Amino acid sequence: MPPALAPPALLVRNLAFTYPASSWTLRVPELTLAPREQLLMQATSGAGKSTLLSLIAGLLEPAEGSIEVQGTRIHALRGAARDRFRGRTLGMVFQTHHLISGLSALENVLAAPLMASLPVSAARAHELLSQLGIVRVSAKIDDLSVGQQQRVAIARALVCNPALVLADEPTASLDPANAQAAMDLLQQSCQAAGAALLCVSHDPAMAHRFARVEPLAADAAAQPLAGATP
Amino acid sequence: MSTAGSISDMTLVLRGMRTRGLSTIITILSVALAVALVLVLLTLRDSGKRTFERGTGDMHLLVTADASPLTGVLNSIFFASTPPRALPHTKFQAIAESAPWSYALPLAFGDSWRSAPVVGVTADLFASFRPAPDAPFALRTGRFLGVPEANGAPATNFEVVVGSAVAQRANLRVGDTLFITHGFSRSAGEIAGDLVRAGGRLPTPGGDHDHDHSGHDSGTGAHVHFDYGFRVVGILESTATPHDRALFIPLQGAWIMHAQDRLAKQNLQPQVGPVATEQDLLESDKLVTAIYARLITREGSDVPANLQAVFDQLRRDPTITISQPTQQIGQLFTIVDGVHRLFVAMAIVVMLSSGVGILLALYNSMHERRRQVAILRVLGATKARILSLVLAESALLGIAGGALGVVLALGGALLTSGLLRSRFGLVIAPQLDARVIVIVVASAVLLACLAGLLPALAAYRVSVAKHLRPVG
Repeated sequence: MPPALAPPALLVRNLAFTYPASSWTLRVPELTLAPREQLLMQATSGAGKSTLLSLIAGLLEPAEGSIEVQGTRIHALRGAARDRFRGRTLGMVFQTHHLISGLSALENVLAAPLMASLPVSAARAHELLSQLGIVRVSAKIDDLSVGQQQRVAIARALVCNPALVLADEPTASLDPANAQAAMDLLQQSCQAAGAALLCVSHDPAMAHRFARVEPLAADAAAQPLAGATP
Repeated sequence: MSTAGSISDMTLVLRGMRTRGLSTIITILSVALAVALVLVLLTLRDSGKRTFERGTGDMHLLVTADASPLTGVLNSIFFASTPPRALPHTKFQAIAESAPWSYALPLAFGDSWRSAPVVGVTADLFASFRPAPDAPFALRTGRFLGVPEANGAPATNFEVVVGSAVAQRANLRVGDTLFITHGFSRSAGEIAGDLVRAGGRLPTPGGDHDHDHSGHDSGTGAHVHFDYGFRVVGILESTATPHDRALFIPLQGAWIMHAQDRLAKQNLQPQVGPVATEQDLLESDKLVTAIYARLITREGSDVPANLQAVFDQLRRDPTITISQPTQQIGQLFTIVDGVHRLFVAMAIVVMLSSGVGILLALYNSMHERRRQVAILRVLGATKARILSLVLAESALLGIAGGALGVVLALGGALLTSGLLRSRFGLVIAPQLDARVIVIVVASAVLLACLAGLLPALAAYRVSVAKHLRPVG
């Protein structure tokens, strides 16, 4: 298939979302991410970064507008189909690692294909972990340093070869040196795996790493839903 | 396992249980205890009743002077306590001639040896009465009462045939001599000098022991008859009835002992030598506390046609209490059944509360689990998958607890039956019916699953977005 015909990794149109019993509204008029493209969305805390990522992952329902991930309208999928689509098409990295304690590093990575009902490839998990510098793959996750844990989380986000990786303040819990290393690894790994990357952060130091930086407009977010809809 | 790089849903469940080790162990233990309690109660309930029914032997009627038929049965067949009143021997003779008995056997019960009942009987008891419907008395060693010795020496009034449990407990052998206590001593253990082994030196009559001091229990008026040594002539095989913990002496011997007491009290023979003999017996000494009676039955039937008629006829006599033992045991168990139901109800409550325990254990871990459930949802787990993971965990808790409970119940039943055997002579085979086990364990697992359902549904409804906000 020629590259021009490949669907964008992400296509957001006229998105509006509001929490129940809240006048706060998140608005994203238009947002497109080409395959393999990497984008940093800058926003202050409370601007709705996590909310936007949850919407894209199909974990929240938008009030208006649509979200397509690799050409599929995720909110048109119901129940199990949406869960499976999320597991296979999206990878997520969070501010805190959100790994499963009691499992080893390798098992945490393997939990992703298991839950997405994809064939579990130990070889791919080993490859990713070694690329990310995790040698003790059988160490319990709680015995790893915070930096190592974040790298395991990156491996887990990529193990199912997703079209799009969503990263929510991925370096917020790391010291500057570890943060640099983790961002290097995240960006390189996404590149290597052919995944697009949407990173949201309030950290201005991160801007230089991305060719494309966009603000999550604070004024748009502040507008009440009713007043903003002409 | 982790280095091999394999993982399954079961890995997630088992690792989760291990991570919450203490709460997992406590939950399994509480399920196990509940299952064990229910099993032990159900098992003992049935076998207890069976044992009691069996213990009445093959008699049709029991005649006593007790206040009620049930106390009669408990005192004179199960040796619960000394019958407070006795019948004169003449009354026995009148009753023995009043109906076409297969047997009518007099018993005098009121003495003890190391807190085991000593019963005065006639030699007929061993030939006629069956302590259990399917088992007549049988000897392990020696002979029955009233039979001449192998060397031709005649039987005496001062010999004793010992039930298997008593013989075992005191390690009695043929040839040993026992000194019997009148009434029941408060001290359940042995009394100094109450046993002289075969070949040992017997106390000089009236000399070695002061009748009123060394063997006297001032509290109950019980005292040891050191004037009469009863020689062990036979040891019975186990009959799995209360008779296993009794000792049997000739009725005459029992009467003579009490005649001696009477004489001592009258101060005619102040504590000198074994004085009372058969010649000293007055009609008032010849007391009988119970009559075991069986009517003649037709071939192949255990219930004689004239049972009711004889029963009604005897009932007209106000000086005696007449009972049909099997009927009394049946009535006893309708009373006890309510208590049993209470116990079973309690066991069910315990089981339910352990279900609540599982629920709480699972629910308490929900804070940690909500995050985990949210992670799994992000990784693509469907709600049904999450539900099955949580339910699998509670089912495992139920299975582990159930299995442990069965082991505990088997141990508990063995322990209890051992205790009942040694304390009360009740032989209860701890049979754990396989069906009962399956039902109880299955309901434990079901209960565990039900208890797990609530946390599972909570996990099912978990708001993924909410629980993946930055922690800390």
